[in-house]
Amino acid sequence: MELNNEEIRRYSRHLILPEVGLAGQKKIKGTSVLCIGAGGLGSPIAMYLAAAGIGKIGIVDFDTVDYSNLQRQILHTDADVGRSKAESAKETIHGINPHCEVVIHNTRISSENALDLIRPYDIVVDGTDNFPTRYLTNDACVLLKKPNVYGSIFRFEGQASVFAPHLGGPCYRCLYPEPPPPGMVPSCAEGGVLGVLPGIIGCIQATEILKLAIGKGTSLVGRLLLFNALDLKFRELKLRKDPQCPICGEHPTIKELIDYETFCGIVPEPENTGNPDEVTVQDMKKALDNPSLGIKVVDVREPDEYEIAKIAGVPLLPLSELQSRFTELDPNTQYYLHCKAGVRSMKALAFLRQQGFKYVKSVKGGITAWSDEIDRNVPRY
Amino acid sequence: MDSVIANGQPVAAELPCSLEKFLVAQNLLPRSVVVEHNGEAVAPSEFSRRQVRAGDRLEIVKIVAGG
Repeated sequence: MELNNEEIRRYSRHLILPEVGLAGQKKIKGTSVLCIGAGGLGSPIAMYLAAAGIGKIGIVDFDTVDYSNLQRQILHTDADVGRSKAESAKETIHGINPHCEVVIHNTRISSENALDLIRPYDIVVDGTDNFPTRYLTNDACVLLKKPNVYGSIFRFEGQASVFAPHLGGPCYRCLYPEPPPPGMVPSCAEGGVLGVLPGIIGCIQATEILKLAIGKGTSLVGRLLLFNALDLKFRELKLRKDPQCPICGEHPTIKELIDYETFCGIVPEPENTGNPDEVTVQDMKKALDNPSLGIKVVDVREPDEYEIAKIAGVPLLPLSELQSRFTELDPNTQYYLHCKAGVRSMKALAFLRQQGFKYVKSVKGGITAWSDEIDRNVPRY
Repeated sequence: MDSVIANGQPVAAELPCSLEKFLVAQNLLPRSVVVEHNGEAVAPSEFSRRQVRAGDRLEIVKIVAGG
């Protein structure tokens, strides 16, 4: 692995660092990294790794760029909306450093392809946004003995660590052996995230990758770094390998990749359709257009969301206040409840059923489906 | 009621009790949190055996998945 004159000029600020030097820069060039997810975390990771001279970056993402991504996913620009994230990422990375080889995997990582995707790379970085993919990434890395540089964000808080049981540290399952039940932990799409937060956590992940590449410093193996942007505070927790971990413990029970959607309690789409507790946005429109049907529509989102987008004529009764205010509703009236995407309205439905309401339905897809299918003037957020 | 210091704040609980029981009493999912007890890392498989006493210090972090 040699550096040409242009590369020597490009990496000069690294080359004069005694901890990096020419030998370290060659190691960086000789390192390949698979970035799972080209979103909030994947953006700063891929961009800084490319700038720093990582020789090969793989990008796995099946998604396309949406306007709501641009507040934090700096790999993609306004002009990229609608394009493949993997292709947009490749273009941005090449713009930063044409010496970096970029391999795009415009596919959803799954139990079928994960081992083949990961095998050719030295280091894996987890920039995914859901539990099934995080458990899949962890298990595949443990089985292949690849370091898994972990980062995760929500609202104003982030976490980072390096999982590497083959280097004596714990894995993701040593921390979190089982996923939370579906719907218990909101996603960034449901709960929001400060735009710069993935920038901070992603840069920490990129730092750990460069340290692993040059073999210098003290890595985050065995430590969980926590960041709170509101307090602007970092803290860290000590971690230990769980001897009873189902994949990296003394008597592992997981020896190959499993079905991660089932493991995380996610019901496949076909079984989701025809849920008797759900109605469609078309049904909701009929109810609103024909008051004689006697069906009342109630919005169970929070007041801040109601201010962003609302449907004319639909009153607000936030889920957070439902317990104290459900008596404002009539248990014998028929209600259609809607939220942003249909998760919270199902929770509200379950609560009202317990209180003796017999005729309650949840609107599938919520106001987002309304915006997509009925009225584009209602903003999607 | 006795209390422990969890994430820097006093939290009242029926003590002593197992870490598992403490977490459940705080409405936390024991399989979805990372805990440091008096400065020591605790593996999830130890939660049911680990005793929490009045005045103990706990650091508790909840799982998040965003990226």
